[in-house]
Amino acid sequence: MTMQAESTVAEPRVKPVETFRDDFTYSNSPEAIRRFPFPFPEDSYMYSVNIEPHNGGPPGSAYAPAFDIDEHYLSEIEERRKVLEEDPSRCTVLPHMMTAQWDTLELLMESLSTDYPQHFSLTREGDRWTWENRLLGIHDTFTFGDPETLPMEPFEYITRQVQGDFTLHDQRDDMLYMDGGMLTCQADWSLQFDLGMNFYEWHGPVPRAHEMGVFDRALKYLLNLQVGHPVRRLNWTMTVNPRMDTSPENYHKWGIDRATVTPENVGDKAHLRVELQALYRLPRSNAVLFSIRCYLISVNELATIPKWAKRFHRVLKTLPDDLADYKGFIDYRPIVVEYLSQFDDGEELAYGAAPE
Amino acid sequence: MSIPGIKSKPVYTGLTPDPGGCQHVLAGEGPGAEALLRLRRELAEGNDGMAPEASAVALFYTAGAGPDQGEELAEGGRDFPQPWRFPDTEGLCSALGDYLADSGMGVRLYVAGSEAFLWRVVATARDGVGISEAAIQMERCGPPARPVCCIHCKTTDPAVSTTVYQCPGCGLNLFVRDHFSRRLGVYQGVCVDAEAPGDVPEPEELDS
Repeated sequence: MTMQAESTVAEPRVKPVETFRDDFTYSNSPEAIRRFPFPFPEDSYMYSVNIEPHNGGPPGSAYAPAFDIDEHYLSEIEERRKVLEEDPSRCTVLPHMMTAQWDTLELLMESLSTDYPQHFSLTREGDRWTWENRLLGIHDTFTFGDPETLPMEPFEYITRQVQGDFTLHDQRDDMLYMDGGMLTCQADWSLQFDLGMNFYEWHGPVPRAHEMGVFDRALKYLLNLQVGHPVRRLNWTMTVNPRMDTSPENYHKWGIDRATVTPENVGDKAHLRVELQALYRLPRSNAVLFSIRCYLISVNELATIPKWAKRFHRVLKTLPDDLADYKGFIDYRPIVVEYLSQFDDGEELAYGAAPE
Repeated sequence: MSIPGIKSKPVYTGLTPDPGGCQHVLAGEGPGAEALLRLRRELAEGNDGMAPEASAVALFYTAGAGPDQGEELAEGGRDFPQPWRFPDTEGLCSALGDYLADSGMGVRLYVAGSEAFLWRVVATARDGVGISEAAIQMERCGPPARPVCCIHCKTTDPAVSTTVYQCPGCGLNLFVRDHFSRRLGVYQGVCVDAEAPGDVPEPEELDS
């Protein structure tokens, strides 16, 4: 990692806790909107192996740090705590993955303390490590490699302190297996159900992409992932209300939200949900850590950026029905498209996802 | 209703003798007896003159939900040891687990029965004894009922014959996704009327 005179990552003003359920007090500040990882460089969307090196990005952007900490940090940590309280199985790691758990703890502690020294610090004396998380008031000394010295297993301990979901993948026989994870803000898939599956199995329900060869190419790429050379991609869907926990486990509770979108409330209710996904080869276990950092932005917040409103209008309008169906918004898509049309004058837009 | 061609859905083929095996363990339920009779005959005929010793073949059977074809298995077994017969799957798996734990390397396990039975036996051999799935063959027999686990309350119904069905645990109406977990041995059942409560489609027979 190169030392830089000036930090290129944002120094977030962390907001007090907002909610992702019940009264939904979550919102984005103007700064958060401008740094939103908007996923559409073009006017239409189709699957591709859109993987690139995760080696930083424009100063202050979501791509600059290894793991992005933003103004919603305390809110997302609290939401995770609530989900785990209701369903502890959302964090599960198969027993053979303990080495990968320590790899994850090391990677996250090193990255956070490097990118955000004002909030996190890590001190190492041999295998005696001291971790300080000033945002949460945590100050713990433990022995690296000895789970007994932490209040819980190392993967859960550290991922309870970082925004975004994480999955752990063992690699054997030229295949990746879903052998652990922390999933509290997932877009409608179940860790408990998919645990132990191979790469093709856990992507089983995704339409089209298998036939397009996307998964064959992506798997080949990921099997060759090297330590110190992480990669990233964006994925997206839409969510009604700023609800982080759109899990299948709770679908019978949140599914009804999809029927509540009207022309009057669509701007505030409908949200673009973007996942900034990064993949890391872990050094001791040779496992792959997959981080899935979720960002939510309401249509009205997004529309404060004229280029994004136009582009999102065109992407949604032309998205094939099977993708809209799989992503779960085919029923209320017409309302969103109609609402966004007021912002789209048909102007030709330059290639690229930046706000201007 | 379900997305066709989901890659996690298991594909079952007929049982065939694996000449690489040193011990052949057959486990069957109900109508799976016919597949086991056929396999046992093929084992006896041998492959290139190499038939396993009678002592290298063992047979476990339960009638399950029926029909009970235990007598046919017993009659057809003059050249091989008699089948061990059990009143239910739990008893069969308990004995099978002990037997496999005492057997040496080179075991091949052949399973025939309902889908719930197949994966219950796989769990016994794979998770209990450490036998690789690569050493296990499965043939699905009888009606195409599926083991389905409710994603919401985690209750498994071992023999669901329709999508949609009512979860015996929480009472929600669930549709059956083709998404299958080999670890759990179940399909996924998901609430069908979450977005329009009370709007429950007519159940359709599962045909595979």
